[in-house]
Amino acid sequence: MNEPSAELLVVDDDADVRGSLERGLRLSGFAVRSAEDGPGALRAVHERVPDAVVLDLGLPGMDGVAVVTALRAMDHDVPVCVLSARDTVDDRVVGLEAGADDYMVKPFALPELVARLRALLRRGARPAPAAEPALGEVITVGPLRIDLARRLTTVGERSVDLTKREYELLVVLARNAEVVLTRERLLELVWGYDFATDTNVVDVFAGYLRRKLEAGGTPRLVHTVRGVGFVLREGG
Amino acid sequence: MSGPGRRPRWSLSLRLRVALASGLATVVVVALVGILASVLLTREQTERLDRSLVPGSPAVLGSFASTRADLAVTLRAPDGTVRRVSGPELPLSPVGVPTSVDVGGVAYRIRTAPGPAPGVLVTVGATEDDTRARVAERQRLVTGLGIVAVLLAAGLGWVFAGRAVRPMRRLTEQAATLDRDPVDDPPVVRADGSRESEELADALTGMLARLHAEQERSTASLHAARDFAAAARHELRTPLTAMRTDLEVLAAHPDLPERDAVLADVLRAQGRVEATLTALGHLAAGDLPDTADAGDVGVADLLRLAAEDARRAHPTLEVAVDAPAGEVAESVRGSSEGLRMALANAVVNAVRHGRATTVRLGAHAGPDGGVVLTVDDDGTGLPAAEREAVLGRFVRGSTAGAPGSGLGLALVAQQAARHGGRVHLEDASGGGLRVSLALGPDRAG
Repeated sequence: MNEPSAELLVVDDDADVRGSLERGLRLSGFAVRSAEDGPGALRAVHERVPDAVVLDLGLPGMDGVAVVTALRAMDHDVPVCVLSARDTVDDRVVGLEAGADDYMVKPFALPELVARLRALLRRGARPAPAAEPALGEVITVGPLRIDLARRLTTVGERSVDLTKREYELLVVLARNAEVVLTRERLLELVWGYDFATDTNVVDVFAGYLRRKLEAGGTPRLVHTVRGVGFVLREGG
Repeated sequence: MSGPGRRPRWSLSLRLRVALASGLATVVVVALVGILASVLLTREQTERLDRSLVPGSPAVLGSFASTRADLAVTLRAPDGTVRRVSGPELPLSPVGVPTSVDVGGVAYRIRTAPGPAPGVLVTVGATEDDTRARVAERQRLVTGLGIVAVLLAAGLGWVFAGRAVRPMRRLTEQAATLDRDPVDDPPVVRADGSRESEELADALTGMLARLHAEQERSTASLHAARDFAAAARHELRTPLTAMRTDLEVLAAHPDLPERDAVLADVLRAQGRVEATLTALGHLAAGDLPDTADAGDVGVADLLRLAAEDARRAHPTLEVAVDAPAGEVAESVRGSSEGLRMALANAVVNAVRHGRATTVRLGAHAGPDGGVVLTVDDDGTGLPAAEREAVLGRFVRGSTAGAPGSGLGLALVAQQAARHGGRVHLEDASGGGLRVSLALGPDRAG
């Protein structure tokens, strides 16, 4: 209950879901506004930037992915948790790739959503502790170079464009190069989830990192350690 | 080129078969010709020999001195006693008839003729060895030529058969690569060059086209089923999400002042799940081929029952039934249950999304002689651009009111299709929407 007055924006086209979520989140201590479509959501953000957004992916017309893309393009850094009513991986992928921070599949447990939102809000304003830069600090692992002060990532000569959450995950892995980090530890370090939660969001983001880092034919840097977690190191 | 199910081939190739067949045919021809030639040759040689068995002039006979060395001559007195012999003694043979005899182990051809003096008989003979040798020599020649002819025929058969089976080979190559790269168009195989191969290629192309069409159909229905399942899951998840959130709120706040409102929301969401499941069940049943359910349905009875259903389901709704207009068939062939359900869904659509307070049920004669069932409402209507789309499954109009399953009008469309007709949405005379369910003309009974 660190920030009891945090304001959320709930976006869902279904009146029943919107009403239930509004009430449930309000009773969990948040101030809640709502919108029923994409343009409405962007208008609401324009009026007053909320502390976090709960966003349905399957909106008619302008869908959730477009809303996330638009928010990030306008340099709004608010944490976004997307809700998907489909359980195919593709939908998760597009929502998170556009810059959302986490996703939940409908129907979900309200306490779980509340816990994740609180953790994301705690993190909201400032970057993950591991990603806080010392002056002029640069992390180098093989061809990977992260300029923390300027928030620039390059692989060899190629600069890599990362979303906030991808960047934070990469910094945590790079600071702990050669050290295997469990999914739980990564959830805690990058997302602030210091509670048990059932999600594969780490795997999804690790997948994005691989795709972006390996795009130029660079050998794999982010390795999966089966049954344990992930490690950043050069070579197998 | 080995794959599962490919067994070793011991059959001869078509080409080799053709070569062997032409060789064999030549063997038969050559043998017949050879035998005939041999018979004729033997006869001709024997006749020649016979012609040579002419006793020489009496003088010569008398002297015997200049008798041809290759001729044996035996002269007999009228009493049968041998007078003179040149060469081996020849037996007596019937006068004037050439005869083959065996003289001391040598085959002779002999002929007896009257001698120079009355009563004297001269028998002239010659060995058949030369004749036989000549015949045998000719036979060898014919046999040799025959063998050459057979080999030549087989070889040419091999060469020409290679050309003849080329279309088949091409056909085989095409068939082997057909499934390598999937194509959007049905594959076409060609094997020009012989009528049989062209016919086979045409037959194959036809078969492939049928298979292709079948495959397209099943792929399309598989996609449709997958999309439908995904959409159905999506539709059920939405009210379940609201329900779960509400129930968790109730669990976390036992003394919530707005408890009744939350419970009402839970019940409404539960109703949505139920309605969606019912609609899904109806859709699945409507997709089944028609069986025993098809019978005669009285049009007036159907409208009356549908009106009763509507009044029961929507107590505040005013429901009117128009008298059938014009020449409308008294009954239709079809499913009474299905048509009632379709009309009920049209009424639900009017109430829920058109916010109608009055509906009118009616029956009209269609332009093609079929029956058209109509449901008119006084609601908000539907933009013309959406009238086709809302007949699809899980599609809601932009003016949709309370949350629905998105399946109501899809069910009406399904029943129309099931009865050989279609659904048409238009403006009602009273200002709202008219749902016309046109049944196929063959359904009027």
